[in-house]
Amino acid sequence: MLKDKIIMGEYAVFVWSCYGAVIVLMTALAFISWKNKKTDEKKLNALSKQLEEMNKQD
Amino acid sequence: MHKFANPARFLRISRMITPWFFILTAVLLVVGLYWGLFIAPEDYQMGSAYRIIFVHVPASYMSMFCYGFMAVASLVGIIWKHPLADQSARAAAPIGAVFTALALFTGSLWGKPMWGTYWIWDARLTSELVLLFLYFGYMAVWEAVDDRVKAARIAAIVAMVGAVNIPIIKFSVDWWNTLHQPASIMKSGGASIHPDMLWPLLISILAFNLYFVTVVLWRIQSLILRRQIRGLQMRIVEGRQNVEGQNHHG
Repeated sequence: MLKDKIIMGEYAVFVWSCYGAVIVLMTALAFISWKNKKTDEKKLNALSKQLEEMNKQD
Repeated sequence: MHKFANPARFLRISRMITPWFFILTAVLLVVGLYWGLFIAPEDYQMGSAYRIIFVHVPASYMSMFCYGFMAVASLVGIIWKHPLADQSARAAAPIGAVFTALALFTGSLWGKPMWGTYWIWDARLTSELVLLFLYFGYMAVWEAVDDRVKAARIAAIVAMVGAVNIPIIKFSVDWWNTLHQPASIMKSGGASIHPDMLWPLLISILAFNLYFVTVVLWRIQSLILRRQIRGLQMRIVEGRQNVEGQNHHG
């Protein structure tokens, strides 16, 4: 039964390609967006510390 | 609304809500796609090929929704000159481009078994392809123009002018003789689709909407942070120059 659902007759290649593309592209975009945000947060924190130290030295 | 549009407040609130949106998106995506693939019954005419609609329809709908969002945000940016509006439009563009590319890809894979061809210069397909180029054009403006204020203005004009294409996509199946079937969900008289197929489709559409909210919030946060990073970098450079100047005089 499950095998039939997976094979889907002659349409499996079309259906699975669509779902595969959706999962890969949407996951990639979400991951890149989240990763960029995390990188920017780290960069901002590092710069804030650097500025704080500069102000202390002054 | 203006209070929420304060970048610092926006960052604080969006950081609190995005994890919840992310969890909800993941759950609904899994439920919607699993239901569409394995639980929804086969179509008596199209067999299992119709299961493509559970990803094609949400992607197509979101491709137009994202552009509409960009056009409205751009209009707000032009009228009130609020940087958060421009950042919102800019953050939405890559998401819309991905949805449009997915709509075209899944549509062509639907076309092959149903119409016998991957592509035809049909009004709906062509206007959707134009939408993809509009997204590319919008993103290219932001990359090409160094002056952020100028880039925001030009990009906003591209977004607003390009919005003309949205009703063309939506009504192309009514205005012209197209191979693409007419609307079966958002039409007068209610949806003409069986509830066993309609529910997983609605869940998928909701999941795609929540995905957009989650990713656009991450991207806006990133753009705000980059603005703050540029500000700090300038302050550090100025500080170093002042110190060097004092040493030179000393």
